[in-house]
Amino acid sequence: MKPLREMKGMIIFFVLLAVVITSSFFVFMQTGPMGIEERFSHAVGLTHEDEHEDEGASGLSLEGNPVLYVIILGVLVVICILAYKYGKF
Amino acid sequence: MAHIHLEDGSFSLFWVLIWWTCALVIIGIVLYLLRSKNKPDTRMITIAAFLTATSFAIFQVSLPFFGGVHLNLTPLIGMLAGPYIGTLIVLIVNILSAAIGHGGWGLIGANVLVNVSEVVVAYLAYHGLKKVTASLFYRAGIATFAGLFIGNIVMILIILVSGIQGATQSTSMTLVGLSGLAAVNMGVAVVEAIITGLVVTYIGKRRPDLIGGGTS
Repeated sequence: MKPLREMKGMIIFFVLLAVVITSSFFVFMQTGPMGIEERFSHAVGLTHEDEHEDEGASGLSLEGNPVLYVIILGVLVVICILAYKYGKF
Repeated sequence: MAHIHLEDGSFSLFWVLIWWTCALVIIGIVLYLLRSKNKPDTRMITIAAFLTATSFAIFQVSLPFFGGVHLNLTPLIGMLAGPYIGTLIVLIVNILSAAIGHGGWGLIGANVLVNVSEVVVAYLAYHGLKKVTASLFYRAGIATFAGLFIGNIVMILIILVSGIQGATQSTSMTLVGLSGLAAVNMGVAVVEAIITGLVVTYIGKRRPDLIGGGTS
């Protein structure tokens, strides 16, 4: 049997999980599927201009400019490699 | 995860300046506190670099839940880097995100405040929960829920206080709309809580010195 202290954490986590899933599913059923920009504009009372993002087969898509995303991410990866190599880790 | 997805011009110039000033004051305090330390911690700089790259990478990816949402791992940043370094990380991630067209430049100040609240609350909850549970997964998961919940509250407050230029509805309708948005956002917090819990648990097994005490 798991110690009471660990059970307490598990109970709190799963209660939160249940409350959050139930409330978000309830709201989602009322509003229907929307992209995040569209959902935001709708929530604050702005008209949304549809900017369709390309989705892959996985349904994932990138926000912002993909070329700049790759360049900046590349620079960050180089910084990480240098920090890992020369820093005390 | 809580992020003001509005374009430049949504807030008036007055409120853009107010939120930028608040963010800069916080960043100034953080820099002062970090500089007052005797020696820079090179290990923390390495962790910060990894967290910045990871958060930036994941922040731009829209996941196919509830029509499209994204994670930003701010609670994980709070747990691993702490509130001071975490504040600088969210500033950099917000600037880089605006640079690629995800979020307006004028909204960086407001978004930094939202993300800093997530970092700080997650950090405090993660450490405060030591007395409640020894499990790293549940501590990190609950702290993630707490951080993202407060982040959503701060986001709603900032928008309500600022007002939206060109909006065609009353403040009470905006509150209702944003509450619904926050509820959907919190649904995604489930994914973020599980990911954060698993990452913290893994690090706890491999490098327990990086995340404080606890069991997996």
